[in-house]
Parts: sequence; structure tokens; C-alpha cells
Amino acid sequence: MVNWVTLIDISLSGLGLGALYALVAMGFSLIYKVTGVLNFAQGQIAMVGAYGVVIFGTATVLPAAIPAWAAVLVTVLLGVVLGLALERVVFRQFIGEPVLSVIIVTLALGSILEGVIFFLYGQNAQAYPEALTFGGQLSLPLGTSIQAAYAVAVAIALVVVAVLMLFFRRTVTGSILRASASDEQAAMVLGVSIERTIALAWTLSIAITAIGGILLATSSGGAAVSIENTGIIIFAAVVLGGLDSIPGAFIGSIVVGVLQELGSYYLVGGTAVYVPFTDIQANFGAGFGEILPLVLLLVVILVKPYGLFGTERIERL
Amino acid sequence: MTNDDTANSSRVYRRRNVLKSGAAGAATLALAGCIGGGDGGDGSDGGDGGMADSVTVPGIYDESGATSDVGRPTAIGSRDTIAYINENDLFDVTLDHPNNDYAYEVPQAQQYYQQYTSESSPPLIIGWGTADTEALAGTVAEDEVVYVSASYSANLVTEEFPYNFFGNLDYTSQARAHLKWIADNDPEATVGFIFSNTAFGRSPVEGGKQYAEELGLDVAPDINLPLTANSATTQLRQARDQDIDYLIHQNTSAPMRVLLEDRQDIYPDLTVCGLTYTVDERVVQQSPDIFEGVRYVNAFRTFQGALDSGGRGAEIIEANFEREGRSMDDPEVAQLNYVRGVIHALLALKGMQNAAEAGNDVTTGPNIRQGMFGIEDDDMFGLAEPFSYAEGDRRPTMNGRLFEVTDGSLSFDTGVELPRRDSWIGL
Repeated sequence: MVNWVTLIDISLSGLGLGALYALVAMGFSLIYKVTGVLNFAQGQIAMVGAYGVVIFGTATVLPAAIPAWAAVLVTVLLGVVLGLALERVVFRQFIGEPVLSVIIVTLALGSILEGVIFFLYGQNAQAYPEALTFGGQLSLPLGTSIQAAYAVAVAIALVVVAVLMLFFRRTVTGSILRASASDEQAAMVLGVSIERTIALAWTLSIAITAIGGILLATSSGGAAVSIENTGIIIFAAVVLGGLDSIPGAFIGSIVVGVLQELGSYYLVGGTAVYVPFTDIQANFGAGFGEILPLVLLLVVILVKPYGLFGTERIERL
Repeated sequence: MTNDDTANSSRVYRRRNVLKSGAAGAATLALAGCIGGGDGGDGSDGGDGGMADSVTVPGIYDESGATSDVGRPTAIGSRDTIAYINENDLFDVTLDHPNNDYAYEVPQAQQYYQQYTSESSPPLIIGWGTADTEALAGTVAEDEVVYVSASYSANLVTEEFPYNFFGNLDYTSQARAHLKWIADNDPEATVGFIFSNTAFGRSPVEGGKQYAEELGLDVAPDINLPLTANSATTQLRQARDQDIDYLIHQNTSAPMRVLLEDRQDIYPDLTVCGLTYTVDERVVQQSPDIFEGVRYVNAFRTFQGALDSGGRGAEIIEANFEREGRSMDDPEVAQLNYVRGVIHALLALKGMQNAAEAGNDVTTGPNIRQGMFGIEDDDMFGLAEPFSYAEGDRRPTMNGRLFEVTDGSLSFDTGVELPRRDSWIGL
């Protein structure tokens, strides 16, 4: 017999976990939408965001620490600067070049960012300043609850998805980004500065991803290299939602988070449910929670190859 | 321009760009490799094991890979102590210690092993963890090279792997030490095992559960917590809903912190009992609140415990820190994993001393292996529970030292003496 409070609690945890993934996933989707590039450095960017707070908020690398809130701000600003610098130094050189070239550069970028963190901290996880470790739970109706860190993640993810949707649909700059995403050559002919659009896309993407990395670290007590694995999970989320759809990335991430949590509880170990009318426990073994979203992904891709909300492109052969 | 012209031009253009992007990628990856710091060893050649006045004892360490958080202080402890041994003439023969960082990559470990064995035929190698130890266990037996490492799988002391040695309770007996304490103090308790689904994680589970049942404890179904976990809410709900009182955790310190962070919110009444790699002074000092009340087990002392022991081991550590200019307040190095590394070097020393005292050539593995069996009730200069190795039983000790985290430090709680059962070898 399923305990409904437990079911809701686990679903809420999944929602929170999904919201954490969503920030990283939306950063990924934004870049793909505007530039057509699959950014394989997304996990490493999230990790750098997570460690950024440690760099500035603790005296582990710098001689003195700044307040935690300032460390978060500086890290996000650093993400903005990194986005601008990458556009100027790296990605500008690849305008008009095949997307494959830029994808390879993102792989290299990921390795460089990983190398920098390993150089500074090795593989050591680093605790966050106390002000950023949200303990406690938020009580909800029916005796259910959600962890404070997850509640914050859900709120921020909702704000980001709403702001990005408004930005793309209601602002001139957003329209320009969509235009250049739709046809870069045509947009250039019409006088759109591709350099600026790409810079803006990378800047927004890295800043959002850095926030995602910070929140991931906050929810687990500190920065750890395992955060870079999020890059793989969010790939499933954005493919599920549709590569070029920001709301799709959000929803895909939530689906991944919820399935992961439900699968880990109800299909793994001693809490696994019993197959109806039998005494057989549906225990699929360790790690099945992580596999379950990928199974769904496979089904969705077979039925809707462009994901749930992706743009279907019809090409003449 | 015809379509064919366009296609040809496009092909040339694409080829040029692939080359361009490939070159850019290769260059940046190479740069990343440099920044990542691949080789943390001293790079010395060593290789004069054949000479009567020196013997080569290579080190294969993880100083930048997946387990480098604990591998690096261990490597430093071993290197420092070998330098101490040479400087203070603890052994008549100089120990050459070429060493390299294999970054927890098995092919790298195998490559370094081949390099060392082909260059200098060492009688003993100080290795590191599960990755290198398991990959090389068969080879070291074949080549008759003693392999001292920090992989404590009970499987490594079976007859199948006669040249592997370690200096701690095996993983299963670490769990048994916790279980014995639980049975003595809370006999009605329900225990559960939480671990990463790897050979390392699973190692203590079967034997531990058998012992728990023998002690009359209720055993809950297993819970999985990956090494790369960023959340443990589901796992803690599983523990809570299965009424687990004590969770025995075989993992590393990063997932341990994730587990403890979520424990506060989901299941604060749970007592987490960590095995050897889940806790050290660095993580406890970084997050004292969430580690409060955690129980821990080892067969050797913590860093402060080692200093307080006042024996030769404490002298070695103090001298090492002074010579190398290290700070006793820096938990990145001044932690129990440093003590682990010191013990590895001392095991090598004592094996060789015993071989030399028996009048045997210290440059051959079989002689050093026999020398290891001369280690009897030896507390490693006061750093550990007494170690003894025998041909039929290479478990160094059955004594566990239990600790509890209180006010941000690892406090010794009590010792547990387990029976030395033959049936536990390999389990």
C-alpha cells in the first residue's frame, strides 16, 4: 500500500532536484537555441559556478574571504565576464564555421575548466559558507514538506524560465536572438550583429548555469566535482523537452528529477513496490533511479524525435 | 557556379574547418592537461635496486584523480617517511623512492608498474587504492613483488593474491567493529548498509550482514548511494521508512557529506557509522555541524592521536612536518590519511629490516614477503593497533579503534577486538 504522504514528499524532492537541473539545462538550451551549438562544457561550467563561491567566500585560495552573498554575486558576474571573454576570444573566431568545430571547442573548454578547479582544489569537495547552507524543511499541506534548498531552487528556476520566455517573446533583443537562431545568414544581411547575439547568449547561459551550480552545491552542503556529472543528466532532460525549447528544458528537467527520485525509492531496494497480485518486489537494483529517465527518453525519442516541445525541422532532400 | 563546384568547394571548406577545429581542440585539451597537473611524482629515476647499498621502492599514488582527496595526503605521508628513514639511517640500505601520480586511471597504474619493474625490479611497491591494487594483484603475484596498498578488500588477503599487504582492518571487519559496538550498546537496533554500487562499495556488505545477523541485529535491505551523488534524500527516506537506527556507510567523504547534509532534514535521528574513507579531519573541520555524532572506525590513530601517542611515530611525523615546512594546522595534509601513508612506508621498512636481519637479500620480493611475516604485534611506532602477518593469515589486525565526531573533531571512543576467524578470510 503506497503511503501518499511519502509519495508526495518524494515527488516534491524530485521537483526540487529537477529545478536544480533545470537551471543548468536552460543554460544549455539557450546556447543551442541561439547558436545551434551543443555545449558539452555545461557540467563543468556548473562546477565552476559552485566552486566560485568557495573561491571568493572562503579563504582557501584568496588571502581573505568576502561575505557569502557577495561571493554569489561575484561568481555570477564572473560568469557574465567569462561569457563575454569566451565570445571575444574563442567563439567569434568560429562564426560561419561548422557547428562541429564549436562543439569540439566546448569539449576542450570543459577540460580547461575542470583542470583549473583540479589545480586549485584537487578532487576535494569544499564546504560552503554557513550562510549558504539552507537547513530545514518547508512544511506544506497534508503533512508533506520540501527541503528549503529545493524550494529556493524551484522558485529561482520558475523565475528564470518566465524571464527568459518574456525576453525571447516580448523584447527586441530577444526577437533578434530568435531571428539569428532561425537563420544566421539572413539575420546578418538584415544588419543583426551576430557577435553581439552570440555574446549575449553565452553570457546569459553561463550566468544561469553558474546559479544552477551554486544551488546544486548549496543543496548538498558544498562544492564537489560530482556536480560536473549534471552535464550528462541535463542532456537527457533537454533532449526530452526539445533541444531548442527553454520551457521544454525546464519541464524535461522536472520530469527527470521526479522520475529519478520516484525510481530510486519505489523501484530500488527494500522500499521497492510489489508487483500487483504477487509477492514479488519490483527491485531493479542499485542505480535504476538514474536509468529510469533515460528509458522514458528513449520512448519519447521514438515517438517524438524532436522531443516534447522541440521545433520540428522539415528538410528537403 | 555549378552544384558540383559548390559541393567540392564545400568539402574543401569543411575539411579545412575540421582540421582547424581539431587543432584548436587538441591545443586546448593539451593546455588543460598541463593545468590539471598530470604528474605529481618527483620523477626521479631510481632504478639501482641491484646495488647493495640501495633498494628501489616505487610508489604508485593518486594525487590528482578521483580519490586524490585522500590519496594525496597518503602519498605525502609515505614520501615524507621514506625521506625520514633515509636521513635518519633507520635502515642500512637506502630506499630509492621513484613515484608517480596515476590519477586513479588503471592503464596509467599498469604503465608505471611496467616501467618500474622493467627498470629496477623492485621487491616492493607502495600502491594506493582499489583501481591499481585489483588491476595489479595477479601481476604482482606472478612477478613476486610485494604490493602494500590502501585497498582493504578482504579478498586481497586470500591465497589467490599472496603478495598483497595492507595496514588496516579489512573493509568487512571495519563494518564488523561497528556492528559489535552496536550489538553491545543497542542490541535491539536495526542496521542497514549504504554504499556505492562498486567493488569497493560492495566489499563489506555480505560479510557484514552475516555478522549482524549472528549478533542478533535486525538487518534492513541495502541502500545505494553513488560516489557522485549530489542528493541523498531518497536514500534517507528509505532508511527512515525501514526504521534503520544505524547506517553503515562504505563510500568516500564527498557522498558522506551529501548524506549528512540531507540527514539533518530528513532523518536526524539516524546514526551514521562510516568506514575508513568516509571521514577525516579535513571534512570534519569544514562541516562540523553536519558531521556531529558520526561514528568512524580505523585500526590506526588520527593525526592528533598520532601526535599524542608520543612514540617514535609521533617523532617521525613532527620531524617530517618540520623538514618539509608543513603546517600542523593545515588539515589538507595534517590528517589521518597522512598517518595512513606513514604506516605504508613503515610496513615497507619493517618488511625489509626483517629480511635483512634474517640475512636475506632485500632486493627480491619473496624475501621481503617473508620479512613481512616477521612483523608481529608491531604497533607501527605507536601509530596503530598491533599488526601481525602470517603466511596463512595476512590480516594485520582484528582490533578496531572506534571514534565519534564531537565538536568538530574525531574523538577516540573505544576499541573493539574481533575474533580472528579463518572463515572470515576473503569474506
